[in-house]
Amino acid sequence: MTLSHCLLLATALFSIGVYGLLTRRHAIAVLLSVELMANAANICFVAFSRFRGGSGQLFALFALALTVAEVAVGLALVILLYRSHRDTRIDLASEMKL
Amino acid sequence: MGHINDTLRALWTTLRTAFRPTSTVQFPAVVRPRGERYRVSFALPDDENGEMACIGCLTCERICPSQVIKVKPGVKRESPVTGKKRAYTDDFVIDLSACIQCELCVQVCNNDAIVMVREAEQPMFEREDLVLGFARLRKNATDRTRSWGHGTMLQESQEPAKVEKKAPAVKAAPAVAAEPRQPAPRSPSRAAEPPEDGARARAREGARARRGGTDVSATLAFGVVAACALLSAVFVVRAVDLIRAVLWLGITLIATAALYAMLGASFLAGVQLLLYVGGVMTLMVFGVMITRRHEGIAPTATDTVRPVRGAVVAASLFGLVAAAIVNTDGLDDAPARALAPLTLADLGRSILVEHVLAFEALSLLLLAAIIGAVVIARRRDPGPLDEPTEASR
Repeated sequence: MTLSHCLLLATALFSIGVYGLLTRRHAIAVLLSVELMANAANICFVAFSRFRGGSGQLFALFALALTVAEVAVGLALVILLYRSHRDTRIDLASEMKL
Repeated sequence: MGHINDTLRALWTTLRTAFRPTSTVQFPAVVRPRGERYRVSFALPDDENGEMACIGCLTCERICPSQVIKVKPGVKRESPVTGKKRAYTDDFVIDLSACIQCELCVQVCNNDAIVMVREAEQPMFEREDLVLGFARLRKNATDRTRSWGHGTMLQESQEPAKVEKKAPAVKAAPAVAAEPRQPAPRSPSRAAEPPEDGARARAREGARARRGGTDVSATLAFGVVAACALLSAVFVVRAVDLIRAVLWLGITLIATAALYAMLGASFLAGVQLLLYVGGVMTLMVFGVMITRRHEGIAPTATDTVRPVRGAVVAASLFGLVAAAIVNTDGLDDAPARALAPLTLADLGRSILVEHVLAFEALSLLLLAAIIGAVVIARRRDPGPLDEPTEASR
């Protein structure tokens, strides 16, 4: 297990997240893809912290809290979208006013 | 030890069940084949002359055990088709809300004038809508498929002579079949389990002894964790059912937590499990449940768009970054000075001394996110829950 292994894994996870982000229409599926990408970024932080030192773990901890906040607000938006359109396909949310 | 064994067995059962094909179906989308005698609603069919067969003899009304049939016999008059005098019915009402589907009314009818049909009525909101009136019963006769029985056939099949011969044979058959079945299914699998377990453990130990170094085993563990994470991530973005996608995301996050632990960030691994797998997953499941459409399965065909283009973009992104990682020199060199592992105390001091401002800002942000989420998701006007707000479309 080396740094480049971890980075490659993180890149692969991030790419899968990008794929999901581009192909899924359901808002919650998009949220899940974003989660995958954030997770991949965190793996990078922790891997660098392990092999290069520095406060990567701390950064990952903060990023974790940020992601949780993002999920809460994102789900609130999804629920709002569902309430106004009776559907959660993300391309319905093409206007600022709901 | 017994507890651990039991826990592991229970977990194994759960795991095995998780990968079995589902035994339930999404009802409106998939309808299981119904039995030959499946019957739900009623119809008043025509006789061979094309007139309504019912003559209002009241036999069905009298036999009905829950007394849900009301027949209003009409006057006798000449049939416009055959020219003979016959009786007619003015009104016929069946209250489905109390009907027990016993089919007695069909059995006793001497004219085959009432039959049951195989298609159920639409779900309805008012109890009164379950009362089938004359018009709907007549319409059922043309619109829906009849169930298996009608009066003449049922009466013939219940003639006493035939029943007496059949009775003992029917009873004997299931008794013989049922007896040896009980002890059979469990025993072979349970007997086979322990030796297999032992063999696997021995093989694992042998492999470890052969390889020797912890480096190789660490690489192997990394490989397993990475494979878990990647595979479940693929399932996350490909799963049609959102609940499954969320659960697969849980596997990815757990694998990531394992990776954190292997990278020496055990506190972060714990936080990941608590916050992500515990909190975010629960939130996600709630989100899916709240916004799930009620009519059957979510639209599957329209859920994914442009999969090829997305795959190309993702693959090229991966290729680009992976090439950059591989081509960077000195990435895997050992650091110049040996790194002391980051202890929990170090982490705590780092948060609350060096980065205390960021920490406070983060708590403020979390507060803002909570309030924001509540404000956004709050129902603006307490209107009726059922009707979508048409004006906002």
